Amino acid sequence: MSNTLTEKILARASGQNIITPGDIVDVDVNTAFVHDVFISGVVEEFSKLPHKKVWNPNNIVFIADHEVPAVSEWAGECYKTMLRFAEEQQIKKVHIAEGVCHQLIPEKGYIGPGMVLVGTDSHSTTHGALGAFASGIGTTEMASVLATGKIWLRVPETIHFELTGVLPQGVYAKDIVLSMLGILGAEGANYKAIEITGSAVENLSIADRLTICNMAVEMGAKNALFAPDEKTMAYIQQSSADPSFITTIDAPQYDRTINMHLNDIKPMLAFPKGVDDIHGVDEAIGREIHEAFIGSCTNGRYEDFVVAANIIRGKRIPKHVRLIITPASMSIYKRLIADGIALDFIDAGGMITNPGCGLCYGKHGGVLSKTDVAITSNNRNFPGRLGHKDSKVYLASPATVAWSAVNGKISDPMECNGLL
Amino acid sequence: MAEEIKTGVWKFGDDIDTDQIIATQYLVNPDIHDMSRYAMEIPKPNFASSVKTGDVIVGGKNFGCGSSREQAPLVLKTLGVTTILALSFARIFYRNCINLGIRPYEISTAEYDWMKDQSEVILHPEKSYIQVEDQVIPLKPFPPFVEKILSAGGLIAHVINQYNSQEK
Repeated sequence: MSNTLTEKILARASGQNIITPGDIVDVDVNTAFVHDVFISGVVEEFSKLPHKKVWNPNNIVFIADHEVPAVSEWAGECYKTMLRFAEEQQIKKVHIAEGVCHQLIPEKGYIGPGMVLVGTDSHSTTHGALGAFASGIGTTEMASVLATGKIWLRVPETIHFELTGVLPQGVYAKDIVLSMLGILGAEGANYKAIEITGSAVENLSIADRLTICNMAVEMGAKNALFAPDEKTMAYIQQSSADPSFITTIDAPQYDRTINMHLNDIKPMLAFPKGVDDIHGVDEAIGREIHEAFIGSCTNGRYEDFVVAANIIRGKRIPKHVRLIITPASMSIYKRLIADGIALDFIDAGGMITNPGCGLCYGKHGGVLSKTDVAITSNNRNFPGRLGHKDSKVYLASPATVAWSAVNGKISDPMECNGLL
Repeated sequence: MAEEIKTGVWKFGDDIDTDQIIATQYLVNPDIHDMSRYAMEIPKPNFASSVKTGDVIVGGKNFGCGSSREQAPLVLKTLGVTTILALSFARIFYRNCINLGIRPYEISTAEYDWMKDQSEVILHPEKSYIQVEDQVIPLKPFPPFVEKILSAGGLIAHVINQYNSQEK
């Protein structure tokens, strides 16, 4: 019998009763999304196929988030390709410069529990936070999905994390996922699913779960998910996502369980060597920084900015630090303005950019120089990822980034307990 | 018996990510041949100018990790690489290879150690094994469904074949 949640979702989506890891199944896709950088490639590959029409325009989402505002003469053509193809194919769910794909999709109700999502962005694992199967694919593969509504998948083995306890003050979901990376490494979950359960999960907000599932791909995971619970159902009621794909969860059997007691987790960093060079913040205290970034599909949500603003409010960022704030969607941006949080950042000397992916993929809005050291709330720090190949990037929680920005050097957010 | 092919080896370490295979700044280039000139610019600057059609890439652990950019395997294919051996592959890169008709094979640490950078190995035309001096590295066959995609030359050709067979 099918056991893990991933197996259950894939069994239903492939119309089978029993599937086991290693099987190759042909799966019905519920949501397929394409972002601006790859739209031209997808449309070009689609044009090689004999299919004149996409399988179902209502299940397809187009999002321009990487190249907004345009950073090259090429970007404007991407938007036009996107709009033209959407019009020809009657695709209505098109969002240009409204936010980052991995925030807009949950926010707009395009994903719900039990659904199957594939996207052209590698961080598509994010959507497992709502109990969906979600994974990133390439452009050729997306062209085939747009034509057929199906994708072949190898049923993955599952790694199970059991979370217990309560996070200490100053420690956040980002520190949990960095700790997971420390345990598994950059390929520890390669080809595999990750499922996260345990008594601590009910205390994790949907924003927390999105952060954790977002970085599952940095461990190589095919997908990562939390079983849907009351918080999930409350979220999808608000976003109006389709609840009809929900899958029952009856005590899955896992091959391998990793126990994590949240009380033991400290503020963590990924050192500049790579996403799995994980250390406690206490090992880097006092290192000078030049750029501090809070944003991205990992940690650019309203909850993240509330934490950061509580630390930064009333302070002045030192002159040698550029603080960059990038809300993950326009609706988050509007809340930051309405609540006065935007002013907290501006008064401290920070810059607020439009929602987008520019900084996080090293393209625009904060590109690093050869000698720059940055502390950032995003998900990747490969050599050259955020600019010059010799620049150094530390990945951290929004609280660690904010407190480090205030001090001009890497600092432990547990020291500013009174502010949190 | 089909003639054996002598082919060059380009060897890399662990965690070669897609940003290293082709950096973000070159992705805007609409000409894939032009873009290919910058393949592996950071890890091996002479790769793009010297690699020959049919050469084999040997990677360490987690080859192709990072972003989903299909340009990564595509620049390698454009430069004539259709066989990649690695200790392990990142998932999206692995799928992209298959979908483009590139054969990704997992090898053992011992086999990785036998393959020397810039050496010549013998690749059996049906690609069932590679001979490195007196050692033989067997290449594990793909599941039939995947082999169908590879034999068609990639996913697009496969989907067209399927469509045509349904039409009949």
